[in-house]
Amino acid sequence: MIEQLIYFSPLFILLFGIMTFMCNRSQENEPLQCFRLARILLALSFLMCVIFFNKPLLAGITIGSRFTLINNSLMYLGAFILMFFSRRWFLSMKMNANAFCIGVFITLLFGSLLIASVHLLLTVVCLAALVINNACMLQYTQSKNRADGKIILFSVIMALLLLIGGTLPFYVDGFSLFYEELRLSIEHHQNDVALFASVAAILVIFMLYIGLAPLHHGMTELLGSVTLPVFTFFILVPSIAGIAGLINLNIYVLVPLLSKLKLFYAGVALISIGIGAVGACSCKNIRKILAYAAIYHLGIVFLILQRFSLSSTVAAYVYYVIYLLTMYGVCAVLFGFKIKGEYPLMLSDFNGAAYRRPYISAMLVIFLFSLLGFPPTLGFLGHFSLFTDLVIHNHFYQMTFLLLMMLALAYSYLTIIQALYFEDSHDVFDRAERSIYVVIFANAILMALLLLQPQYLFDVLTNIIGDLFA
Amino acid sequence: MGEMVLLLLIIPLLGCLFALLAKKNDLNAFYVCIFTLLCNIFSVLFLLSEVSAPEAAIFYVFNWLGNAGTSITYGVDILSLLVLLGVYMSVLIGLTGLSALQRKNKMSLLLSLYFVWNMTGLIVAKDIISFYVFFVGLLPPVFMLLGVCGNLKKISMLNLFFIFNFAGVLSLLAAAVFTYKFYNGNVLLQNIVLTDMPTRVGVCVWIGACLAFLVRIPIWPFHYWISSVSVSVKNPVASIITNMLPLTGVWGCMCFWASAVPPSIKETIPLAVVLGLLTILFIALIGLAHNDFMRKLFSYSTIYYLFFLLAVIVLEDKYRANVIYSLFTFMIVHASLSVLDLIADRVCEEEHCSYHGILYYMPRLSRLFAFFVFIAAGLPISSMFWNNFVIISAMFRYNFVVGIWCISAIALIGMALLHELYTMYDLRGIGINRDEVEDISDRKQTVFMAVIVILFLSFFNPLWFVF
Repeated sequence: MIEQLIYFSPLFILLFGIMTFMCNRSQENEPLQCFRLARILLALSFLMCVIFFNKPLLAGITIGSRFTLINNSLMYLGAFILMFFSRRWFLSMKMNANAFCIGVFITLLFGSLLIASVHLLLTVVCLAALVINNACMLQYTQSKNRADGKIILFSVIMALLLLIGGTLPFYVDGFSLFYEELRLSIEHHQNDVALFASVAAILVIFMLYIGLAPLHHGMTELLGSVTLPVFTFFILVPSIAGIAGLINLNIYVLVPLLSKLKLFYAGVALISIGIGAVGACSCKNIRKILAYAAIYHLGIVFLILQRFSLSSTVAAYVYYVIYLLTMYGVCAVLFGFKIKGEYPLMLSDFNGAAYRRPYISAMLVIFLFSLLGFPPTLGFLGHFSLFTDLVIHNHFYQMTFLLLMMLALAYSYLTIIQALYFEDSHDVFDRAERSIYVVIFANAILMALLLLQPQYLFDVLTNIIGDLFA
Repeated sequence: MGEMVLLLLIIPLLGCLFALLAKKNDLNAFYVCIFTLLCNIFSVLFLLSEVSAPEAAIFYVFNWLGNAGTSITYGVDILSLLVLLGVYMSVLIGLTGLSALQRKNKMSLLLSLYFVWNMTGLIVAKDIISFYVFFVGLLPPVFMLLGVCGNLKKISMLNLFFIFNFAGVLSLLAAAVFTYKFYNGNVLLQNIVLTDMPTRVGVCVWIGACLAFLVRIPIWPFHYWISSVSVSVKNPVASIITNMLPLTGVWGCMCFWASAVPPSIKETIPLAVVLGLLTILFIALIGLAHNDFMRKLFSYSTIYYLFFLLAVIVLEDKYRANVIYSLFTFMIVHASLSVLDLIADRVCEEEHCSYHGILYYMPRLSRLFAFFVFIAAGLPISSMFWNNFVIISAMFRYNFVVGIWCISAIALIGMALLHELYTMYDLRGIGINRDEVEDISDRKQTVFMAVIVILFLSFFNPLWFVF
């Protein structure tokens, strides 16, 4: 019993943090203290996660593996970077950061559970909590805009209805909701239309949570206007739990439905890639461009995941990890540009920034080229594994479409580079924190090392994902 | 000796690092560039002395992804070393032409070194993955250099140039990935022919690769973007580097074509030849019609690159050495003319005088300029004359019309350059005193005199500097 409680300690620490932030009504010394406490709790929780990474939180309902560890690490790292950089903004705006910290902690709490879950009910509950939490986080910075609020409310209600609709048939038909047993049940009822509809409903919620097209609209529109801390949160943290949960579901439950779901996956992925690339081209707001680009990149991950095989899952995960590492860098760079205490939104605000902040701008350009798969950046490795996977499995049309969309996405990134380097400078940027340089440099070093010795990345991820297939 | 090949790649990277750390508004980055290029030139000369036989080569192999079939191979032979030497000398000549302000532009110097690194990688790459890596890597520095040093009014044109080149790059990526699949790993360029591919896939791979190379060479109708963005560049190094981009296309064709082409692709050679010939004559006429020396020089470089491309495609492999010898001289002549013209241009801007007759007032520049224009026009004062003579003779043997067409285009562009030389001597319209114009410095004159000696001695032996 005590042993089980110790295994629960990462979640208890997060719960403790949530409670503390909820009870904290004092405005004094806010938000520095708030972020300090959040960082300490995050570090403690992560430490416990690492120590007990192979111990299941709830026997039978969750699993502990290297896969959960690596996803938790990525999620905590994202949250830590977020907390580290956000504190200055909250301080300069004199805003209460409790709600923000609660949102991040809830995501970590349910995200960790979703990553480790091997029980459909737990997965569904975590997904519902995460969707509601995301909506609250968006509402938190969008309270003035009623129209956006309605969109959020509508999507949350739809998500909950779909979740209930997707899970009930399994329950009513007497299926066990444990992944392994559920898979056996699905194998015997492969032609059951209602069952397929239920699976599709659950997958739709995953899509909504990750922010894939065509359910992206509210998310991208809002991300274009939210504050940078919230934007960074949405770019870095939620998708990790979503992708990991989806990979678990694919491998443990949905393999029997592979032939039927292939078209669904490919369709969603191609729509996301298309909308992400074309949408980014039409934007003049840097955060919107990056939000659309996120749809594009997550669409690619979805595209490779469509085969549920070890090689494709590894390729997808390698691509995703590289994308995430690059986005850590991009977000850190965005925190380096500040005009009179505010983070700029529009591309025109970045005009001539390279002459004011040459190193940060150069790193942003390198990260953007990495996202486009330009060698010798780490992104090339992700793109190479992606294209090799598509060609090996004879998906020539999908590859052609992807290449065309890469051109469109390249255009949107060029507009950012154009603003940074080829336009005249008007604005005076505030002094960037030294920690931003440190984080960007560390990120660049990590990426360079992985590029020089890519076999470590491939071997480690192949072994980790291979364990799931074993 | 294989490590020397790696050294060729490491030196420019180290140069980039030092240039990055150099102080802003200082000459340190400039000196780093000069030192880096000199180091690489000496390394190439050393390697040239080691690789004496024409068929000899030095290789360096290492395993990148850790599993079988992903070995990266670099290698050099006499021809690739000569191209490298041409590249380094061209950039070095460009550096001598920088103004005092341009020498302090750290970003353009850094990008130039990065370009040199990629160019070195492309020329020493012997397998398809590393070839792709460096082929793509050339695009960002050129794009940034054009944006930073070029005409800001043509940004949309620059974006089109990037997208267009990126499309070519992606087609090479598709070709590389297909080859990777069917060869079961990374394939050496010379072994592409051994890859067992279905005919249709083979055709797609070759079309992908050829498209990638053709977009680099401003072949009609793809010539517009690069010409419109490159002629407005006032930085000599940026101008030389931009005009070196087509070399990557020619080099790519040379590498891929050498490894034998599938018969289905060979059937399309006449089509490529017709397209090339049409472009060559079209651009020669454009060059003749323009009044701007930079545009004429752009036409000159395009015509010569296409000429070399046609020679690679239609002639036998034994003429490859002649193509490379001619290419080496051509690169140096082109770089020298670009720099000298930009110097004359700068003087005109500073003195607010007309371009006409400027050489009359700058006797030193005039002598150098005339020498390089004479070489470019095809006079027998460098190895380019002999080698072009051999190539054109072989083209006549291949097809009389192709030979006539090529010689006409070369003669036309030679006329255009000579006409421009006459214009720059023509005193009509000039309104300044001779004493007001400052001629080029002693140091610059010494550099160009050295270049002239190198070119003149190459008339007797193209590899006279190899001991």
